[in-house]
Amino acid sequence: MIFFAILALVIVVLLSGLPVFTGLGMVGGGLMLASEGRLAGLSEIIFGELNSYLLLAIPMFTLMAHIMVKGRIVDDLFATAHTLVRHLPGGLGIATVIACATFSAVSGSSVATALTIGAVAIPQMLRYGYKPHVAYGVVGGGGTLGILIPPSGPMVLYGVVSDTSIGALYMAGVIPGLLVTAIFSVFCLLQDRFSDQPTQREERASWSEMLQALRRSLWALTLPTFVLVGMYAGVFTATEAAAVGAMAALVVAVLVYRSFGLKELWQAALDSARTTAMLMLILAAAGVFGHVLTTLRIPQEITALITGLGVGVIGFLTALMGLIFILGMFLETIAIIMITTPVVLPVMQQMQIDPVWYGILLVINLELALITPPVGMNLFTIKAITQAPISQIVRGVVPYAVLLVLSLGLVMAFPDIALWLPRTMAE
Amino acid sequence: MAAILIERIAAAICRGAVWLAAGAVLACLVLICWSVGMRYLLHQPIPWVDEAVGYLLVAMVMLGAADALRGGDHLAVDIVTQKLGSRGKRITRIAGLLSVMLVGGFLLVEGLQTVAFNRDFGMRSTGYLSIAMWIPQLLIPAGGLLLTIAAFADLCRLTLGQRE
Amino acid sequence: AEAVLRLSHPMPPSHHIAKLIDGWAADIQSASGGRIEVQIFGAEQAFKAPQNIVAVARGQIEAAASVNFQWGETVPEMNVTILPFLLTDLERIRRFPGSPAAAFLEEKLAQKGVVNLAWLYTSRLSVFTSQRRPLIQSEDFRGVKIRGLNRLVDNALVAVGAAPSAMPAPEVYQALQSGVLDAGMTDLSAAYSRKFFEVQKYGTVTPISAVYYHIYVNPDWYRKLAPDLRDVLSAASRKITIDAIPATEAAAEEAMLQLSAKGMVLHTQTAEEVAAFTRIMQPPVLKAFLEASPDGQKILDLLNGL
Ligand code: NA
Ligand code: NA
Repeated sequence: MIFFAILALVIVVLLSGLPVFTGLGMVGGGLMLASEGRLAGLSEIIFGELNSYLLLAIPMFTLMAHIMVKGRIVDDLFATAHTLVRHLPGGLGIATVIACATFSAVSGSSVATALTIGAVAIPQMLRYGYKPHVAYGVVGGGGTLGILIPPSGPMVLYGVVSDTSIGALYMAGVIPGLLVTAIFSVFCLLQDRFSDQPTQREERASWSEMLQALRRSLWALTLPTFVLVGMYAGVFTATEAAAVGAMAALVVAVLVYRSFGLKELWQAALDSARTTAMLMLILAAAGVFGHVLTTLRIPQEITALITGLGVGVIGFLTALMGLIFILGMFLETIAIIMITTPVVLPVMQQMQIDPVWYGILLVINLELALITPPVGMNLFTIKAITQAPISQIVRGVVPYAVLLVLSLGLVMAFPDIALWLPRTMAE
Repeated sequence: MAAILIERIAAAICRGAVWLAAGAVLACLVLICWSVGMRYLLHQPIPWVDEAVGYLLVAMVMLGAADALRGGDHLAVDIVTQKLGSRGKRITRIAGLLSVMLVGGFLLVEGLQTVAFNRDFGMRSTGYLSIAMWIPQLLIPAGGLLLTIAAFADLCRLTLGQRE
Repeated sequence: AEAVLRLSHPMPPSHHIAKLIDGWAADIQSASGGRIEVQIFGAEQAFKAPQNIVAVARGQIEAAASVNFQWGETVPEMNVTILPFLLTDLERIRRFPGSPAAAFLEEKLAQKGVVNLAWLYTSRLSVFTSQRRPLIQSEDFRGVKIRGLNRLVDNALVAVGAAPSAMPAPEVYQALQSGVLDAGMTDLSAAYSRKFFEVQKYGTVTPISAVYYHIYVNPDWYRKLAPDLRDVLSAASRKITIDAIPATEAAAEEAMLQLSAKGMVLHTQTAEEVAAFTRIMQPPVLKAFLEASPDGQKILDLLNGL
């Protein structure tokens, strides 16, 4: 089958160690050359991929993370988190998962979540004696929550393409989001508990110690609160929240911490530009690859194949989730939604599959896509902030991928995990 | 000697470009906060900001990519290559830089063709700026050129200059 | 197949015009005895809405369907149908295809380098949506932050004292929900399909703008097509042009019923209200249109002669 031949080609090209954006770009361009005989207009497609207001979250949250790290706001935040959970096994890991979940309520993007929490949490976890791959795993896995807990960029896109209520999708994401957060936290606890060299546990902090820690990080804690309140009170949109959050962090760093000047700001802007460039070039190349797959009608043909199997709802969904999982190894979340949704939708309507339920299954699967190699944006995000080898990052996220597959299975077996809240809210 | 000279020139060009990219980051920060303030406090939304931000994003990526490439290696899947010896790693780096030159060169040439087409066609944006589309699209060939220069300079250093 | 016709459009698969285009594709395949293979790429899966025009002109894809105002200031005369309260009378909409006005615009498009095949009437009723209080009189708009349509039509909103805001479509729902925006303006069926009724209590139905999706093809591809196949295309395109009118009317009626059923409080502008809004809203938009369009007066006269 041509589809699997193409995927094998991508794997070989990427494993050869070429930069991801040139590897994906060359495979996409080569396929286009083979099928159309020319490459005219590819740069127009790249321009279109990059010229997207909704991607603003990536540079702005990167900037925010840089400001929080360089301005030492984060040190206080983590000292507090550590004080609160230092008596638990894997305490800091749990704190990181919860930080990811909280940040996900502000950010609609998983890359931005992994970027911000990762830049902050990874150095701290290493400092407190976590093994590198464990630290990368927590952030890589926890960061994926960004698109499951509302607001969520991919949910909006899916809602628009499929004519599904975005409000219902947001509601439906809440309980699965909390469920995945809980599963990840329990895993952190067990992982550390049964590790051959568990991190050091300390005495439970006293109330006065906790209070003192909270007071010290008061300013740092106002940042996410400010962003959340501003967003839900209608001051700014989810995308604007990224810029407002960065500005708020800047104000706190300059006025409260007095640890930040123009020189530091310029350095943060330069780092943010570099990180954004590296990540978004991959997004653009994945977009080109997706465009070529679409014009070759590969998703259409595979969907027709699956439909032709004549299986029931669960069989169809399982096959479809398998397909999306495979696509997710190579493509980026936005591309997967744009390519598969219009193709799958008519079949779903025919089988009377609830589009809200499917949307949540899709988003959990997209979370997987963010951490499966070879093309996993959260893997690259962690690589961009730590320069760690991909293999080490992958080793860390594998358990989280397994747990996500488990969660996917749970939501598939018990649709009410997703559908109960929107149904209750509607009544 | 030639390698050092090329290296210095390339570094200067890429640094200039990434400065513009960093300027674009700060411009986005200021524009968004300003437009939020105008809309919320003064009830005067600034309707062209979302379009301008889109072009600034393209600028960040196309002008920042070359410097990011020079600053270290670009994001790559190193699962296999990190097990290679120094010779294997060198070959991988050279292949990677050649691929960047190929893609950069393609973006330069095809980007210029796209710019020319849009200019002849007279395509304008439908947003508030109603800008001729070929102007922001110039960022694509510019980024292609920068990537080619950066990769070429690294290649010179790897092959002509002293081995690391 | 002798020829492959790939068409890109931005509509979700459930959109009534998207469904008509699927039927158009089937008509062409069967009428040509399979000599033309039609492939539809909807929902921006191949090209984003703003890219379709250049993609067709450059031959990256054979055909596309775009809203007429996608041409913006590239062919400013194409904006004529969205001028406030100008072409929203159903009789005139019926007479538009095949009229000198349509022919004039088709000629403009041909000069730009695309061949127009069909005018798909998509909307003549919009709805002003709001949460706190309904937008009935022109005074109600004063200081209201509203998501507009584009720079041209937003002049009309400014004229009633509103503060139009531009925002990418995916952000609008949440902006209306959280109160970042006070009000929305959208096509009637879109208000239903985009679920605005979930976050907006009131809706004022207004015949403010007529919107067309039009199907256009690459001229080189079209010229190379065998003459009898070109006839097949023309016949199918005539049929879809005619079918679009009752389909859009039915979709609008259905949307109105559904919005009411979902609890939205709808008000339809009366003839007096329409007249009052026309007096305020039309002149500034007309002025901007004529300034931007070299042949603006010509197309206006042709349209007024319908
Ligand atoms: Na989120
Ligand atoms: Na992946």
